[in-house]
Amino acid sequence: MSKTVELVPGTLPLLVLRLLSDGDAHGYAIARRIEDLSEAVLSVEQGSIYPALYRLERAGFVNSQKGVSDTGRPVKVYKITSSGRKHLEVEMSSWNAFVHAMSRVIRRRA
Amino acid sequence: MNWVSKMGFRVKAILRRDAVLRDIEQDIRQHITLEQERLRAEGLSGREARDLARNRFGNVTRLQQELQSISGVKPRAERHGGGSLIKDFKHSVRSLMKAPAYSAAVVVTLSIALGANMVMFSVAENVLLDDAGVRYPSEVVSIHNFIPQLGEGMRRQPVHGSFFDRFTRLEGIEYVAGFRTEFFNFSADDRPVRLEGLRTTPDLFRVAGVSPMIGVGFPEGLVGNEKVVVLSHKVWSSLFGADPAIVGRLVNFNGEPYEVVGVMPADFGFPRGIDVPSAFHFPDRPDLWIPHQVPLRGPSDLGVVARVVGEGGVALLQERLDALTEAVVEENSGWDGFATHRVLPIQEQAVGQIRPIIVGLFAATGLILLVAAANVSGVSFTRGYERSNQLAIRVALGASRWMVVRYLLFENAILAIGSVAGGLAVGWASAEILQSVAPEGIRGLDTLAISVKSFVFVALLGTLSAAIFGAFPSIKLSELASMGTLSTQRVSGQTTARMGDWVVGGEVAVTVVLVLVSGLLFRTVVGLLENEPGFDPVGVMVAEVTLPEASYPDAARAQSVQRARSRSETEGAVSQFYRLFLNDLREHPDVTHAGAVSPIPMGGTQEASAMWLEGMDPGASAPVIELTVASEGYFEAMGLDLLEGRTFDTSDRHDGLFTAVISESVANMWPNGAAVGSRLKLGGVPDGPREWRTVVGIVGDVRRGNLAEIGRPEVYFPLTQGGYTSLSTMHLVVRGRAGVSAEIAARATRDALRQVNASLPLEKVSGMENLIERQVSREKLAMQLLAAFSTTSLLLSVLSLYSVVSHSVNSRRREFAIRQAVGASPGSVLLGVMLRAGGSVFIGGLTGVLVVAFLSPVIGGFLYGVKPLEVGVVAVAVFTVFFVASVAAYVPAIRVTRIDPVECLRVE
Repeated sequence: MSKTVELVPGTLPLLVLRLLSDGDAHGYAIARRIEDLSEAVLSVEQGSIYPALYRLERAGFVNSQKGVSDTGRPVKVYKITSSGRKHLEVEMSSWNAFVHAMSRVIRRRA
Repeated sequence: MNWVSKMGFRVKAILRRDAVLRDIEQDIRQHITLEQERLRAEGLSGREARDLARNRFGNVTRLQQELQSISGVKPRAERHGGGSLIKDFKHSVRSLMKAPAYSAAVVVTLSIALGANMVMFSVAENVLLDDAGVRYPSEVVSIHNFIPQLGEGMRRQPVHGSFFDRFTRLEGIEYVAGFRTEFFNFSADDRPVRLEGLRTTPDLFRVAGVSPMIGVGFPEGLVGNEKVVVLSHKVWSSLFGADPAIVGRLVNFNGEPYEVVGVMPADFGFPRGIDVPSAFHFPDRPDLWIPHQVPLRGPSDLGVVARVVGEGGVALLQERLDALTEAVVEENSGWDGFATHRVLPIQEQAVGQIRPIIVGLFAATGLILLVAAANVSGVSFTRGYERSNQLAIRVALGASRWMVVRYLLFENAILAIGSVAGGLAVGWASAEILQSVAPEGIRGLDTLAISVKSFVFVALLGTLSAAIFGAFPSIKLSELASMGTLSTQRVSGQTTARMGDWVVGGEVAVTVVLVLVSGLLFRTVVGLLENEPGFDPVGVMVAEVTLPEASYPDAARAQSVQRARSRSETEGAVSQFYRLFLNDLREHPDVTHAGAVSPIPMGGTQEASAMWLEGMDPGASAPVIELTVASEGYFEAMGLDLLEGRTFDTSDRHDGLFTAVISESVANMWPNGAAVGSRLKLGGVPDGPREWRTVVGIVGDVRRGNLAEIGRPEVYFPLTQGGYTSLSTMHLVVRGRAGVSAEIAARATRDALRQVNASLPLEKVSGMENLIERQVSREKLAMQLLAAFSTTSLLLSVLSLYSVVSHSVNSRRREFAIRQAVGASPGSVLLGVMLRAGGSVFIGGLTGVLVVAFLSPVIGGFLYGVKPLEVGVVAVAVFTVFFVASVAAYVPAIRVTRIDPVECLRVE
């Protein structure tokens, strides 16, 4: 397995929301997408996306309904809400600001 | 999220907890399954796929908990604690199971006390509340002839027939009925049975206000010679198989056919023997009722019951009766002193004698329960004190005072339930035992039934005592616990000790009272039984035989003085029967003497009459004597002392000289002492219609009605010259050879009876000694119960004293160790402990004696031959209690001498 990187704490909800903004998905699918898109660099315990999902749901940024997986298993399918989208925008811009700031500082040192 | 949606979320979480928990589980499971499937598809083996899927998912349990807490639901594991009530309950059960000695002590103590109360309640219910099925018991009275000159227990005599007709015309009486007993021999499957019936005027059932259960009862307009009968429920079901078509059937009583016209309800048994003042053979409950002649003729003596009208009816009737007495005496001075009539409500009569005993015993059981509750209260306080650290920790951890109380109350509730169950068991068992050991002759005990009411009573009492023993210590302890552990120690130690002293003192007081009173009753019973009865009951069998008047016409009481007076030319059928029967019996090798008598000592009361002595001053008032009819051989069979002259023998013939045997106290009425050969006559005047009788012998006085009284004047007439009283039922008195049991004598008697008349049953076979024992049945029952109660109470005191002393020794170990360390001898420390225990025992004992002294006027009424504060009895009772108390205190107290000061102080 190639080199992996620990996820920055508190960023998992952002990832989840971002993925859901592409389309509805169940928990497993989200976990798979994170692995695929990060080309398995981001090391996420698959289970840890559930606390993120539950918290988002409790905060009203996503909601869930019953559905089936591609393989026909009963799963909970999550959908981003409009307040979730707004929240995503805010989070994304602050993330971008964070990354921008971080890289400016880091590049200069390097 | 605002507070409304927060609330909503919480509510939803609570309401939908199971669904949420299921969702979480499902999410996790499906996720792992999906990953597993994918990995399998990539070519991993099933096992590898599963392990890797789990590994990549992470820690399932931790995640599950995290998700549950995010969702706001409590994890399942915690839920097993359940509601705090159930938790408390479980906790209480556990902690009780950890202290089996304590739990057992409490349950046993309370069970015994509750059981005693249950028995008393049932006794009271059965004995006091029985009203023979009468509809309006408060309006029903009996009327009796009151003759103050007669001995105690004899003063209440049956009513003379001539008065009965006057009663029917009295104002204030709604219905009145007169009746007398009649025995009926009935052949049930060729086995002769004697039934105790009443011949009664028709209004008896109206007095009772009860109609037959089947049939209509006596027809209207009876004259009294109708052959109809109303059966008791008992006879109907036992002898006639509860035949529903019994009405109209002819049944044979005493060889004559009677038409059944009714069956009374099961609870109807009126009038009871106890309702009749002078019970010369009144049955306890009648088996059947047949009509009595109306209007009454002749001097038939009657039991009389009446229903009075409304409020104050009893007093009004008494006034009317007094007025009647005056009028009669004015008319005929011969009635002076014999015409007084008294009214007695049947409720008073039935329970009057036994009520004080029952009330007293109830008080005793009540005290025992109180003592038991106090005892348990003390024990649970002591235990609580020992646990006060635990309780204080609970408080420190945030338990409220109410929570501590609730926790303690739970324990008590569990113990109370156990105690009630135990109490019911003890009560039921004791009632069974009581029925088997109880002396004969106490009404209502033989059918002692444990009713629903008594169950409820015990349950209530148990709850109440749980409240008493539970609430106080719980509240006190929670108070202490909330003060904190350290301060608890000292306060609680002192409080416990003080409470313990009170409990011990109170228990000892109650115990002394109970032991003392049961000791006094024991002396009473022994004293009564030690009284020489004036005859020799050992080896004597007694029984009753009833001759039906139809075939033995002279068995009936003479309806006119003339008939009785005239010497009969021919021997009466009764006399002949007994002559043949007794002669046969005397020839039996096991029998030495045999005779017949009516009434028998200790078995019913007699007729009383004025008696005129020949040569007495015509202005003097005639003494009153009691009349007995006896056959030849009676005096020898019963073993009376012959003081002068002879007893009855074959020379006392129906056509011979009229004779009499008199008792010593009658002989003393002759001024010159020469009674034998002198003459006497019944009636208060020298020229009365009765015949003169010559005294042929003097016998010793006997105790007749009861064991306490002796020396009532008694005159015996020979059976051959009878006719004053009914001779229908006589008592057989058979003395067997030495070593012959009552059973053998009874068999010999039965054989002889069958020879003479096979249709006659032999009834009430018993040893004469049993008849005497029955006389003290009331005292004996009270004594037995009280002895049981005082043992219980003593036991409770022992338990309590033991626990108090043992607690005090334990909690003061350090103090004792210091004392011994600074030079006190173990003996002096022991003495100190014993003195402290002795102090409360002494004060308790003294209180007990004072209580008895205070109650002595009441207690004295039940005693015979012993004073309430008889020194010997008090000494024995007090010594017993003190001795037992000392042992109970010494056993735990001796431990102080085994305290090793060095060891003890180092540990502390």
